[in-house]
Amino acid sequence: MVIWGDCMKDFVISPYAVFLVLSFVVPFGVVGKLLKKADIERNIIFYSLFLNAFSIVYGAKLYTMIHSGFRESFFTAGISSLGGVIGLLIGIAIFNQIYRKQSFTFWLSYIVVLPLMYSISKLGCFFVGCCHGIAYDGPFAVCYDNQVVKTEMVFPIQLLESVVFFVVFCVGISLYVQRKQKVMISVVIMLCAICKFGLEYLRQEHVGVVLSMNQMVCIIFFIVAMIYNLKMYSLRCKACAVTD
Amino acid sequence: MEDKEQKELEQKVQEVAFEEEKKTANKLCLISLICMVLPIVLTIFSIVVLALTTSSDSSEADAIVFNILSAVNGAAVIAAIVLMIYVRIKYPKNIFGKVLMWLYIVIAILIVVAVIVLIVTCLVTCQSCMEQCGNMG
Repeated sequence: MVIWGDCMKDFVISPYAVFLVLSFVVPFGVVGKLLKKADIERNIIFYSLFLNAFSIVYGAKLYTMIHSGFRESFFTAGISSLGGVIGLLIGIAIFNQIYRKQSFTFWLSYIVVLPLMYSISKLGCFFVGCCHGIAYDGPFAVCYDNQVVKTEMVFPIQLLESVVFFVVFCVGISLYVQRKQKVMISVVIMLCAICKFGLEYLRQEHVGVVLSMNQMVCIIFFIVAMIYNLKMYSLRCKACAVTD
Repeated sequence: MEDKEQKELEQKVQEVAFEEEKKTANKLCLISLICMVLPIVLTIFSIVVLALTTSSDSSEADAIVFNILSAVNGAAVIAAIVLMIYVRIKYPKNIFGKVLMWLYIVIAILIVVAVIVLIVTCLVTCQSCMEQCGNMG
């Protein structure tokens, strides 16, 4: 069953570029609001956003370059979301070394919007056809016939990723609002890692591959978040023991 | 009398500290500027070298070296921004730091404008433009 009618053709304006820009503008707007709410000065927020915008793009491109064995140049390399996440985390760590006040607030604000960023950027992939899913002709199947890619009926994995990560964002924001912020960091990272790991199996790129590089990175993220969670738990237990 | 001398001494100490700070900040700004300009020069240089070697004897190894160089250039740009931010936070009154900040903002705006121009000029999702993520997801 096809709900999109004909195959996805070329668009008047590149949807990939539009959603790429939106995937920066919207989450950065949210980060700005969260940091402002935490009484951080405007110029400091600006410096942090400025550095992280560059570090995301750099990380995203470097990851693709490493993945291709440096067969792609920095200018032609595609943008990888996992690379972007690594770039962002390094960017936050560097910024916290420069500005040492309220470092936890910076971690919180950026990590809570990570899934939103991914969710928006995946819509770009969906309309263009890159990162498309495995062959499939069930409900919501989609096909592409444009200058980028020509496919048979495929699974709309990008759309599913977009929805799943938006749900993860909602979970993160609700934890943030409920002031369960220490748990929020590890929960969001673990959920993102699990979802990304599982959804990779529905991608065409994954066919014939046991464990992709993206999945290996997801496992690393999951382990790091797990260790962080255990550390927080043991600290809480110690605090409880002291008060008892 | 003693009070006056002490005040003068304090003022001198402050001046020396201010001069020291100014020197450090300017040094950091200069390094930042070099980090920003050097990649541009190196990129132009490597493009010229690559273009010259393409006609005669270009190999995959050359392209890989060029690509690694482009990654290093990107890292230098990040370092330039980090240094500028460091100066702006630690030495907010430094003029060189302020000038650098505005310079980098202008560069960032130019990049954004270039992306918007790409979006507008890519009337279709053409291969040569910014059209996809290369299946990297």
